[in-house]
Formats: sequence, structure tokens, C-alpha cells
Amino acid sequence: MKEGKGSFLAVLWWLLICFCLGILLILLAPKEARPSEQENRMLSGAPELNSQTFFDGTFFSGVEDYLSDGFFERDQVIDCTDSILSLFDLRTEEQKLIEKEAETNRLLADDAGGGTSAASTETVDNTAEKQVSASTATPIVTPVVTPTTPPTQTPAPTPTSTPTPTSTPTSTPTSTPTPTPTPTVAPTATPESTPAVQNTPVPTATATATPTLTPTAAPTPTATPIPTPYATMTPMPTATPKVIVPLGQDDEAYLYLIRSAEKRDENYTYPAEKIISFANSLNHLKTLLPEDGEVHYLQVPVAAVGIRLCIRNSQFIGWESTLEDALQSQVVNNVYIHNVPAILNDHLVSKETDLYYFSDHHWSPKGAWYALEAIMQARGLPVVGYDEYQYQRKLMNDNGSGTDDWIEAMYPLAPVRSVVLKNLTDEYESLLIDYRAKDYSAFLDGTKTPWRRFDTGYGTDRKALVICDSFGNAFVPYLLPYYDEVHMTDLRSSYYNEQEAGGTFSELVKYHQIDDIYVVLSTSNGINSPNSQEVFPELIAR
Amino acid sequence: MVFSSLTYLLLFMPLVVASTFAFKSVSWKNGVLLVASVLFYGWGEPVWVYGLIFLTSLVWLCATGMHRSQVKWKKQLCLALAVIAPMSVLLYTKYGGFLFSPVLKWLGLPIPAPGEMPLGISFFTFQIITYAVDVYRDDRLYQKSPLKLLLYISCFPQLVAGPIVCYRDISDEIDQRHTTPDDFVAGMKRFACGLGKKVLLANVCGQMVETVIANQAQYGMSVAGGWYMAFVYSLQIYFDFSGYSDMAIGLGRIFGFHYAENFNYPYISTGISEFWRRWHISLGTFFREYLYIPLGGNRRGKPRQFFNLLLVWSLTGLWHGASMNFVLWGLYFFVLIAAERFLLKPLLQKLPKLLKGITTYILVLVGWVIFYFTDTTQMLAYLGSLFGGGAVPLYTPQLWMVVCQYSVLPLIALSASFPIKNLFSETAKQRLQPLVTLWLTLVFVLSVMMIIGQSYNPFIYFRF
Repeated sequence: MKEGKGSFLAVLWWLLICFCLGILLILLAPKEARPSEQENRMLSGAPELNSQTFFDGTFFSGVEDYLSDGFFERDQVIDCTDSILSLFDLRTEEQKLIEKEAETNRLLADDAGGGTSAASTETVDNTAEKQVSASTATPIVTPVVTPTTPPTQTPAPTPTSTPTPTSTPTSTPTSTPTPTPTPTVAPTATPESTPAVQNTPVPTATATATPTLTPTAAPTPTATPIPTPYATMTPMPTATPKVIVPLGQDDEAYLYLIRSAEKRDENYTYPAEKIISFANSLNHLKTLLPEDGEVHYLQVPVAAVGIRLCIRNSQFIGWESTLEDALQSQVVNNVYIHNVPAILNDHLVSKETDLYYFSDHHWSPKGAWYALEAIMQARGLPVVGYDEYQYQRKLMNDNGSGTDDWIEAMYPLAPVRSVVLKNLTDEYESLLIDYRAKDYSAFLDGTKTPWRRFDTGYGTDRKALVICDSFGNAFVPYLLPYYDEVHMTDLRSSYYNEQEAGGTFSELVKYHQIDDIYVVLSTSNGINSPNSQEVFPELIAR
Repeated sequence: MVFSSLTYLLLFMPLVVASTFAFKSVSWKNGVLLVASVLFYGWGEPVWVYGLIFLTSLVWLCATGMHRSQVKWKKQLCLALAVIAPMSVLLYTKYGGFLFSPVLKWLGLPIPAPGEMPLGISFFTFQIITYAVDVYRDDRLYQKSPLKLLLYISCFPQLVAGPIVCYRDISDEIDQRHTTPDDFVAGMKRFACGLGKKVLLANVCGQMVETVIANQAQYGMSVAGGWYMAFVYSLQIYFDFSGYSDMAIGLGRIFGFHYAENFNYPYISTGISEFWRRWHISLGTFFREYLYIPLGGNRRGKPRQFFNLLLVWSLTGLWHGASMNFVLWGLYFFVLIAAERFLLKPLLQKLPKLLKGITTYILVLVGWVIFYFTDTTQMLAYLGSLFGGGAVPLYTPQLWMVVCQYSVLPLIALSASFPIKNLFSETAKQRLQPLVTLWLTLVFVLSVMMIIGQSYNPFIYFRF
């Protein structure tokens, strides 16, 4: 067939574009390995060329990975192709959830029965029966919080109470006995043998398909009378209106990795301009809260290659961050900046290397718990011990590094209902633990957009909002005992959609009557990132 | 290196195409292609590239021996050496662990692990054999230049996954060829079409197969689920392999080679023999011309023909992999073809075409189930489920979810496996050219986007 001249030129043009793209990719693709929030793995950097990598072929496969992992706007390209594929997916959101729930049930039933499901010929009805019996056998999945000291009838503060030295809490007596600060989990069973926990109740259609979900798992905020920890709260010291001295233009803060007494690397540098800009965002968040509302900011270092290698190679001497002090100096009262590197440092130095995963860039539940412990202790609140939670243990996929990681996703202490909110009030049930997941998405079933709410039923009369990236997912379960409702949102541009959320950010905060805000971000998405500098301020200002 | 990788699409292909077009002389073009081919193979197999060069040199020496010798037994000796040497390497690397592990153990040789065989060895071994046999049969085909012989064997478009090109078919084009802009555009279009088949259809069908298998592992097997999986897998393997063949043929055309078609809409066949005349044509041609006919074909009576068929189909099965299921798969087709030829011929002639077509497709689907499961127990259980064995339900409600998940994609893929373009007249095709170009451009862009998100997308036929 005769091809036109236009076709010839078009093909030639395309070849040229491809080649230019290839050359640009080689020149501009990041040479270092780096974490991907979206894909939850380390993206490949430039491969090392030596005789070994050459002859065993790993150099060549490394180049392939390097080019595809370093492709320009990779996340957007993947989103785009996913969107195209999703055009063919005729399942509704509810059907997807039903499917996921059903699978979760099966896994739970298998775990409880000690059986395996692979190649099982049982129908879903059988699975459901199995699940019922599993639930009957271990009716309580909920770790029971038992007082270790006699209950004190300390009334819980109302939302208007202000935990400052000057405030006089107007307490509302609660009918529930108030237990103590240090609850313990009833040792009913090990996580492996009693996996059924907080299964989320599935609405309407699910009820028939997965009948087992309802009995233990449909807590309502008032169903579990667990007393408020705020009863014993020691207010954090705050001063009278704070005078903020702006940082100088040339001031900088750093996150150092200390390699020896003499040597420390500046892993991250934070210019004053970005610190001030972010401090303004935090200050703005405070204005959206009631008078006693608090804003907490945690910036968590990622287990970036260098850091992780240092930890794993036992060469870690410590790290040090000056950012928190700099940031604290720029924020108003009731905005607290927590120095996570300092919190984790002692533990890391004492070789508690399981604060981070080996094959993933996230912190582990233990790392998140240490951070929460420090925050709550500073607030004078009781802290539930790390070992008092039950954990669902999952083997994380080995990413070729030769070492496996165990994910320990924790059950909340009491039944918790988890819903995704769209258009302000449309509720979609979601999981608290994805039992199938063998990676970090086990926590809270991964990031859910645009807005998420956990109904805890602790009767604390306080509500929190956690603005976070994926690092918030390991943190939030430990935060639940302190609030009636914990809301969660990820304001990064690729996750948050105002239209889908049903209102502007400030409208949502007011609508949900949020008392406290926690901002939990990894260093990748922290102060220096475009999301924190551009997207975040713009969204919260609306 | 694979065609569906960014390294290839964004760097290797534009560079090689530009370099070959920069030269007018065929010798220089051949030089560029040879270097590119060695690089292409060496990219994935930096050690075995020396093996490829060694085998080519050995065969060239044998062919030279055949060419120079006038004595028949010497020629036969050279031919035997030229066939046995590459076959030994193939047998050792591909089947060592499966067939000869006791012997290798006794000899103290290392037993190659499955999956460690050199890339594309099944294909280039057969190409070496075709050259040796062709030279033995016709001395005029002798290639004086070892570099040109290396180019024939290692030419990167067809090196790792075929089609198996007989030497006599392209011997002239190695020495003398010219490429027109039309060839260039048609080749690129064919390449884009093949890339789309692989990345947009085969890979997505592969995801579907995995989803169905996972769904069945979770909710149990069902008759409908079994057939659905076989149906989707039939599309995956077709688009995977025919996509690669399209890319190879397209690239060949860009460089001035005209490779024979490897697929001709196999799923419209109305009989198993016809299916194999449309599926992996180059492999069928090889076995027919270099094994079946030399053994006597169908000229020496029915018992001999029966034996020849048995041998050919056993080897066809074994060629696809060192596993019992591939042997069974080959024997399954032997039984079907033998039945078609010796028993059912009169009956089949009376049946309507549509019925024959559907029956053939169903039989092929059963074959793909045998092909898919390397674990024989699993395969038998699955085959049983296709026919309701073991009290398997007709369907599970969850299967519908899987069907909804991909909705019309399998149907789109199925329609692409029919010769729809033949419905258009030549004039209409000519008029639609700009649209086709635009469409293929879109396919190319979408394919690249998909590749970016896929860390690993090997071709199924690379393992053969």
C-alpha cells in the first residue's frame, strides 16, 4: 500500500521525539534511589556499573528500572493509565468494597480456622458460615480496656474547655466510669489466633453477603463507654500572647545525620523563607479551631537509603534536627512542633532498628508509637503501652534487598468504625486493616480520599483531624483512644479533591467541629516540598 | 533487551534506525545492524553473546567444510556437527534439569536451573539448523562471510522470539536490499501495532487471567470461571506472541527484510490442522520441512505417517518448555490432528463451518489450559472443573465482579483477533490511512505510558 509523505514525516518526527525524550531521561532522571508514596516502594536510581553487575546482567535490568522509575511526571502518567483502565471497570465503589470485605472475611475465617483457602472449593456461603463460627468462637475481638486503678469519677471536659492554666474547664459529668490512664488489653488471645477485630460494618448490600461483619464490628460512638483520658490531662504550658520574632532571611535549619563525633551530614536544609511560610500555614490552622484547640506538627524522617543503611550497618550515631525549634519560634500559642528525630534518636542509637522497615521507606508502628507517647506525655495524658495493642502480622514483600519485613498493623483498643466521606456526608465503609495487604497499605487500608472519619466511641468529647501523608497511617490508630472522632485527610495535590470532599477545607473543619489538628508528614512531603509550600497553604486558606 | 522497554523504544530503536538510514551501502547497513544485534542480545545476556558468536563460527566452519568437500560422507559429517553442536547446547541449557539430570549428575556436570537458559536459544538454534541444512541441500546458499552469517542468526528483530526465519528466505536480502519510505512507514506502523497488541491487550489480558485465578483460589473453581480464564488466556498468549511477531516483521521491513507472516488469525480456524497452519507458522514450517518431510511425511503409509506426527507433535510440545505439561500439550494436539486426519475427516466435511469453528476454538481453549499449568495435578483439577467434574458449581457470584472489572476489554481483544480489516476495500483502506496513522500514534503513546508503570513485562515466548 502506498504510504503518504505526511505519514513518513510523522513517523520520522515521532522517532526524533522518542530519541530526545530518551536522552533527556538519561540526563535528568534522578540518579539516587528515592521513595515513592504512590507506589510504596523505592524507585530505582542509576545502576552501578562494575564487572560484577555487568556480567550478571543486573546493570542492564537496572537501567530499565532506572529509566522507567525516573520517567518525567511518572506518578501522573501512572494515574492517567489507571484512569483509562478504570473506564472499563463497571463495578461500583460499593461493589468493590463488598468484594474486599468478603475477602477479608475469608482471610479472617481461615486464620481462625487455621485452614488455607488456596484452591478451596467452598462457596462464599460456606466462607460466611466459617466466619460466623470464627466470630462465635472468639466473640471479643476488641481488646478490652481495663482499669488498673480504681475509676475516678473525673468528668470529661466539654469541647469548650481549655486546657490552659488560665482556663476553667466546664466539666460535664459523664455516666461512664472513668478508668485510668494505663489501660491494659485483656489477654484473651494472641493476634494470630484471634484476628477478628474491628471489622468495619458494611452497609446495606454487604450485610447479606458478609453477615459476619456486623456483630462485633459495628460500634457506634456511644456503644463503648470508655472513659476519657483528658480527665487527667496536664495542660501544656502556654504563655500569654506570644511575640514572634521572624527568622532572618539567611537563617536556615537542618536535619543532620551524625556519622561521627566530627562528621555530620546535612540531610535536609530548610531555608527561613520556607519555615516562615509553613509556620503561617500552621498558624492559620489554629485560627480554624476553638480557643482550646491545638495544632501539632510532626515531621518524620523517611528511612531514606542513606539513613537506613547507616542504621542497618550499625554506623548510626544519631541525627539531629534544628527545624523544630526554628519552626516553634514562628508559631502562635497552642501550636506545638514535635521533634520526631529527637524522639526517635535515643531508640535508634540503642539499636532499636525496627522503627523503620528495611524494604520500605515508612516508619513502623513502633516508631509512630514513640512519637505519640512523647506527644501525649507532654500533654499530660496517659499513654497506652505499645505492647497492649494487638497486632496483625504480615510479611512485607521482599523487594530484592534480601531481608523481609514484618508489618504489624495494630487493632484499635475498642471497636472503631471507619468511613470514607465524600460530598461532606456520603459515607462509605472502609477497612482499618487490610488483611490481604503485604505492604504498608495494611494500615487503615492505605490512604483514602478525600476525607476519612473514625468513630471511636471513647466519650472524650473531642474530635481531631489528622492531615498527613502515608506516615499518618501508622500513627492514627494510636491516636484513637483520645478522641470521639478522628478525621483524616491527605492534602497533597494528587490525593485531595475539594469538589469531591464537598466543601472548602475550612468549611469541613468547622462542619465536623474539629478540636485539634495533627499534621503528620514525612520529610519527603514536609516543609520543603511543593505540596507543603504551595498546595497546602492554598487549600487551607479557602 | 525487550521491544516493550523504554531503553529500546526511546534510545535503541531511534538510534539504530537513524544509523542504518545514514548509510546507503548495504555493507555498512549490515555492519550497523550486526553491531546493534550483538548489543541487543548482549544487553540481556552479556555472557551468552559469546556463546552465540561461538556457535555461529562453528556452523560457518561446518558449512565451509560442506561447501569445499565433494565427498558425501564428509558433507554429512559436517552437517551432523553443525546440527548436533547447537542442539547439545539447547538440550543442556533448556532440558538438562528436566530430562538428563541423572546423567549430568553422573558426569559431574552442573545441572542448569530452570529459567537460566540463554535468551532465545530455541529460536536461534533452529535458525542455525536451517542454515546448515539449507547449505547441505543447496550449495549455492553457502555464505562466504561469517559476519553475514552472524547477522542472519543474530539479527535483533527476530533473534529472541522469532519468527524462525529460514536462511534461504532472506539470503538474497542479506546481500542486496533497499528500503523505501513506504517500507519504513509500513514497518513502523506494524511495529506500533505489535507494541499495542503486547502492551495494551496481552498485558491487560494477563492481569485478567491473574484476577480470575486469584478469584477462583478465593471463592473456588466454577465451570464458567474455568472457561472464562481459558478464554482470556487464549487472548493473552495470542496477542503476546503475535504482537512480538508483528514488531519483528515491522522492524525487519524497516531494515529491508521481508519476513514471512507468523500468524494468520488462528482463532477463525475451522479445524485443528488449519489452526496450526495459522498459529506460529514459522515453527510449523520448520518442523514440516526439516523433520516431518525428511522422515517421510505422509508418503510412506499411514503407520509411518502416524509415527511421524507423534514425533513432530511431541517435539513441538517439548520445544515450548521443559515440563511435562508441554509434552502433554503437544500430545493433545497430536491426538486431535490424528483423529481429524484418520477418523473424523468425512464427518467434519459435512459439518457447517460455524460449528467447526466453535468446536475448534473450544478444543484450542482446552489446550491452553494444559499449556498454562505446569503443575500436572493443578492442571487436571482445572480441566475437570471445565466440565463440571468434582461437583464444581456452574458459576460463583464473585465471577461476575471479575467480568465487570474488565467489562468489554476481552470482547475488544477478541474482535481484534478477527480479520476485520479485510472487510474494507483497498480504496477504503487507502482513504483511511491518515486515521490509521493517527490511531497507531495514539496506541504507541498509550503503550509507552503503560510501560512506564510496569516494572517488568516479559514476553511469554521468551522462555521458549
